[in-house]
Amino acid sequence: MTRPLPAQPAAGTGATSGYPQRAAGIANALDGVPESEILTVTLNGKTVKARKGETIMEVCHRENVFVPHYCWHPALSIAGNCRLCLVDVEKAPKPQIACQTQVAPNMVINTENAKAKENQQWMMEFLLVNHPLDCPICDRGGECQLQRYSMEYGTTHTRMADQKRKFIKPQADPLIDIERNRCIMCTRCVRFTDEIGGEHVMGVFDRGNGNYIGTFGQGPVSNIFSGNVIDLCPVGCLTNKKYRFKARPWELKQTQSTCDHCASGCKVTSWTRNEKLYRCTPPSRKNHDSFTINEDTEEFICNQGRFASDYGFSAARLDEAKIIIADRLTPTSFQNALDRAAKDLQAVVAAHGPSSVAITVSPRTTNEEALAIRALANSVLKTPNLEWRYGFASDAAADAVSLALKHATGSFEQFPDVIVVVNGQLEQQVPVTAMLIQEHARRHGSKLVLLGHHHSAYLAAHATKQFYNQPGRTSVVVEALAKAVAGDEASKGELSTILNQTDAEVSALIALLQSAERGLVVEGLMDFEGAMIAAEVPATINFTKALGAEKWGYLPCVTQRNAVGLCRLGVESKGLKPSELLPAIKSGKIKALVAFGADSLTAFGDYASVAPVLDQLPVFVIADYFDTPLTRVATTVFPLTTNLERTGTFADIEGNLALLNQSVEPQGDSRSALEIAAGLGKSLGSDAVPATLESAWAAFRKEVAPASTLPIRGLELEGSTNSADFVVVDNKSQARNRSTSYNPGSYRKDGLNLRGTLPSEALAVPHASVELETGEKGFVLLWGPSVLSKGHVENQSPIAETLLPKPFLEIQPQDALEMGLEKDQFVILHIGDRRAKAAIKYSRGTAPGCVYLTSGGYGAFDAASLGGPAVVTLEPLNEKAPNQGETLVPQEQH
Amino acid sequence: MSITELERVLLPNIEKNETEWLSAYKAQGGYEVARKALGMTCEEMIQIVKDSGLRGRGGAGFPTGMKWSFLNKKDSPRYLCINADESEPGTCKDRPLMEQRPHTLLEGIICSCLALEVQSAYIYIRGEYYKAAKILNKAIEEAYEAGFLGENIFGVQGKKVDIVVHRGGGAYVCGEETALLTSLEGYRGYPKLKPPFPAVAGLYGKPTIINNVETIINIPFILKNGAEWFKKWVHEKTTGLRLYSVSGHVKRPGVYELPPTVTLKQLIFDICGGIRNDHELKWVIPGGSSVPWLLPHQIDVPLSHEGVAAAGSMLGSSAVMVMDHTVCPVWALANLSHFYQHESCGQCTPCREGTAWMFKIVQRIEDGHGTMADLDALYSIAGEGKPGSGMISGKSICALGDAAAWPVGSAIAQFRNEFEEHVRLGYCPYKNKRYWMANGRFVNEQFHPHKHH
Amino acid sequence: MLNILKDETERIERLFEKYPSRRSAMLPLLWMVQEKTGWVSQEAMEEVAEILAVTPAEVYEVVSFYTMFQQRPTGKTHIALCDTLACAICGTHEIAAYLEEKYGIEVKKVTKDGRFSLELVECIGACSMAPALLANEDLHGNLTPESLDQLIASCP
Repeated sequence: MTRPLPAQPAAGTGATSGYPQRAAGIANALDGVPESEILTVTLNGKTVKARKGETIMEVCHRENVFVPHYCWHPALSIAGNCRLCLVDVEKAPKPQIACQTQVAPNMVINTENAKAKENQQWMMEFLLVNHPLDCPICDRGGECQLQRYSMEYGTTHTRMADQKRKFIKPQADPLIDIERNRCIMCTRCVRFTDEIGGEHVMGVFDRGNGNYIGTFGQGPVSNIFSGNVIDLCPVGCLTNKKYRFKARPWELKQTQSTCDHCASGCKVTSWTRNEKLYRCTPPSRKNHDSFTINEDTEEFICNQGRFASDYGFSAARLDEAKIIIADRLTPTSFQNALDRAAKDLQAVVAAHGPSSVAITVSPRTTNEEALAIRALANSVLKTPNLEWRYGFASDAAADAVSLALKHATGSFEQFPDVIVVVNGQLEQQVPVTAMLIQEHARRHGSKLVLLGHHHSAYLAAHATKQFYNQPGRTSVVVEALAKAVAGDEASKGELSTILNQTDAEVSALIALLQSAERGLVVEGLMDFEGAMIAAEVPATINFTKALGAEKWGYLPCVTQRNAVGLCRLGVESKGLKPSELLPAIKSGKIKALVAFGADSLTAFGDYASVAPVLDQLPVFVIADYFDTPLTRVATTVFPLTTNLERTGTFADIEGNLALLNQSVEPQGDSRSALEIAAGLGKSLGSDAVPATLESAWAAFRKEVAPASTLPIRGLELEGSTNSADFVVVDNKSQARNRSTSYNPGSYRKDGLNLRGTLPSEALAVPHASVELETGEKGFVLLWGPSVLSKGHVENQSPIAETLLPKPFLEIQPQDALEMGLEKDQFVILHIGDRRAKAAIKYSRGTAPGCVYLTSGGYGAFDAASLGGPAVVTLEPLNEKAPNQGETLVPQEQH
Repeated sequence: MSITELERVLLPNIEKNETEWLSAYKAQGGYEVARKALGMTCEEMIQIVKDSGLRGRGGAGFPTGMKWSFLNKKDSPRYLCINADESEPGTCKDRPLMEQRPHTLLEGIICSCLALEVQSAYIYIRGEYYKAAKILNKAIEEAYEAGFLGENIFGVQGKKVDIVVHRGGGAYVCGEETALLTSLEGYRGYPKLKPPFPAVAGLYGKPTIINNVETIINIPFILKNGAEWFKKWVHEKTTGLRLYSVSGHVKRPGVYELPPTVTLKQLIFDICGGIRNDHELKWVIPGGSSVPWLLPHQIDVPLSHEGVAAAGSMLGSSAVMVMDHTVCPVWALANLSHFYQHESCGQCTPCREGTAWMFKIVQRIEDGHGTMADLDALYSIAGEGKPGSGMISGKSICALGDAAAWPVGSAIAQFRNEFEEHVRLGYCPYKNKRYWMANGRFVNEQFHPHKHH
Repeated sequence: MLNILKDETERIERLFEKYPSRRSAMLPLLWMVQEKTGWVSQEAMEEVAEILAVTPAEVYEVVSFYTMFQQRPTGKTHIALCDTLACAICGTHEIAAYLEEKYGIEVKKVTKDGRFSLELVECIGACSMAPALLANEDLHGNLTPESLDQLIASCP
């Protein structure tokens, strides 16, 4: 049977871009493949071309011939265990599996004849022998590959008359429900956690008919990407605990949107009904099968995006505007609140001048909202104090971030063959970007080089070269490398000293960098770096330039969702520096504060320490999602629409735009920041603020791509769920998104992205002077941002606590052994007179002599207040982090 | 023909039931063949093995010389693995070989390594063979000390052979050559997808030859005496003496070294003394538990690959299991089906689900709860006991699925009446006739259900 | 941090020399553990995982695949009684019954005094000596009530 497949990859996404042949994957077009590599085979009676070494499955995909399969998945290695894709190959003594059998010249393949059909029917019968008939209570119903294939390829009756196999049901994972009785042992989940998740935490245990999937000690699948196994599971074995028994997929509305938790910018689908979010998944494929997610696509999202996009349904949600009446915050109409805020602001400006007003912007603000807020600040209130960059260690760090984003040119579009990662804990800062990097290294043969004082442990396993340096020396290393690449011999010697490597190693590194056809320099911008980052960013930009701007791209990684858009729109203060805001409020220099999103304010510390300061403000206008101690000290409160309730565009770190698409009605009287800014502008008597999404979008388009000749489709953005209408949406590169039907290339050429350019002259690099004396027993403490850390917004997701990892202290195994520290053992960190408790985790990413504390962020140990790396001593406790699982039960079967 | 008239090559030591240590082995000319082999070319040695017609003694009977010639010599390192995971029920010939002729085996390995230009060999021995593993390790130690193993063996510069004994952990499937490799690599013993075949990409992805113990132990004798000597004992394409493991209800079960011209009937009735207690012969499994069953009227065939095939079965690992008339074929099939469902690795669908399903059905019929529809279902799952027939055979990753299906298909074909009788009666007609205890040991009237678990 | 295998570092190093891949030492290490403790505990699996730099799940995958690795403590003498066809038709079940009735040794159980544990296993490669069993590392074939009595008496 021939059936439409997911939209075919656009011609040229593969071979023409030099994309190497992969172990598994969706077939690329044959364009550009040399004639000597092409052979012909007969597929279902039709003569077709194929590339040498391709599998039958890949040829079938290209030819739109559907071969049913369970274990095969383009993103995973070939297991060949489900045997459902057995096809008839002439002259072969046995049926052959399409997923693994490579085509041979003049092979005659039949996927539809009686033999093939018989095999499919038999395998379906086998798979159903022990599968419970519990579809009515199974969460996979409606999007189950087992249901689907048994209708299409199976028989209608069963011959199984015996008792079916039953397993004990473990309950260890808080997010993923395991129902082993339904498992068909395709091992997709096991391969995913091993290959892409980066840790072999899931396994196949026991043997034969009694084998089952699980985790050691029945512990949780402790991985930031673990939720993807839910989509990968073709049956009802692994399901979403938060979505269990809530809905059937066909009852839900699917809205294609984007995640707002980090700047990786993943495309997601929001599944909603009755103005409630039921689940969030990678993009569903409407044109393939209405209810199929992740079938043959390679899109994955992290757990934060999957499980914490429901923060809008927090019990603390604001749903009405409030103003102060008789010293009490009192609900009022939206217009009343606008008028009142405008009146207050006008009074402040009149009395103290425009500079007494400050506006803060949340990094979750869309480009259109930012444009409106900027108009409010520039044209209406005329204040220079408009800023989003809170939460960085210092103003120098914030400026460095701006500088980095301004010169960001890198992307994964070109399938980089060499990737250099400078610093970063990328799998926590920008999880899916880290996943993309490791995919390139693991599957596509890209060479991965890790430099700097902290490496991502997730990437370390795939690194071709990994060189540490002491904290504070990264800029020196990168600068020396830049010189060495240009042929400076003296720098080579300097490098081998700093990196503690042989000359040969350094030469090999330089040769590797010089060999790149399409290189990418990725820089992880980390919280703790403070003054260091001010030197690292320009040095790394210069380094990229030295490598050759035409071949190399620079990709700085920040966590904040729309950092790139906000920087491009200039939402950076020309007046008060970020760190000066609170002191200026305390001193009375700032009389009025307008906060769009409270997450910018919580960067200063927890509610208890920030609220009293804000309470001193004569005028405090806040627009936020939640009722918190901060909104309680405001003079005017506007309820803000969340990620699901508004439309707009975000830019990701690659500069690509993605559409945040409204999927539910705003709760109560919530409005977007655009409406609030426009409303305030109007109440202040000005028309300068774009009042509609269309006008804001048009203005934005004009500003970022003035030369664009593409028709401005404006509001067509809104509510468009058809991926063909996804005008500006790009989700990563083709590597992960090969099956989308639009061609993002034309928009790029048109300038409709926020990619920067490298500077024409080398940037000045300030001297980094961080010398830490650790002494005998001391370690350098590093930390960084994490999408899984506690935060103002993240905290409000009903399952925030579940997602939050235990506070871990990452340490090199060698260092740990010398200290006699065991895995999971608790230690007390002494930082001066401050203390923090964390469990030990061995890591290959932490530099020797350094320890890395997983970020607790708001409300936890406030490492950020240290302003930069600090020296800590570790005090081992005779206590271990409890094993979250139960004891092993050898006999799982009842 | 009586047993004393037969020539024996491997058995003399085994009959003495003592281990041949290095001094004794050297005294009778041990390691001289290996020394001689050092002066031969690889092509020469492979040609002799090819000419001898030696076929693998593990069960599949693939010509050894041909297998050797497939080894991809462009890639290195290359490996030789000795399959000592003798687990096919009924087969018990490699254990005495290893326990009593360790040095002959080592010499065979050294010769094979020289012929294949391989420097490391692994003996993958099943976990249950504690004693054999210990003896082999000790023999290897002796050989290292004598300079027969390690760097520059026999003082010849640049010639290196290392042998490592690797113990399995109790898994029949690891006798499958690619599962053996995965197991040796430290994983679950999952058979690998083929192609690529081990001769191209085997252990650690490198070219690998896997041979059975008895195959390798024949190599020094062939190199010493020549291909023609080995072909003295010949029936069609089966050459050389081979070891037959005889078990079950014969008067003298044991391991016998016989030419392939000896018939199954002679083996049972002359050499092994006939059926115990002068019972009636009911059926024979001629080549290990996986092969189709033969009825008494089918056993007058030479015990060669071709001879047994002509009777409708397979020589396999030449393990002959003999059942007298007290054994219920349905019960026996349930026992074997239990074995296969227990030993299936569980990797691929048809074998994982099929073996367990077949066992459940057979056990139910044996328990008297079967229906005629069950018989049809069973027959359609298992097929006719031929390669490629039925729902499992030829569809699984390795041959374990086939091995599980063949006895089922052939049992139903041979004993359909008895299966139907079970269904009709609603109980096993043999229940009250149970008297399987060899020679009347353990007389116990009480019936014990088949499986205790 | 090693506990069970802490005195074996030298042996482990020698083990690694035998294979081009460390992972190949998986089965030998598990055997080493079982030799020392009689079974493979969860703690032992974590230790082996640490030595091989793999996850404990990977070790458990292997342990649970091979039936000879005991996942529960066994008796001082662990009896593996063959229950595949050749032995079964020569008296396996009668032996099991004999052991249970005379000595109270039950299948899949450890005797109260901790002396014995019994399991029925698939073919142990002693078909021509049927019925046969493995008592710890020793193979005993052609069993009779007398030879069983002797065997039991000789066990600690």
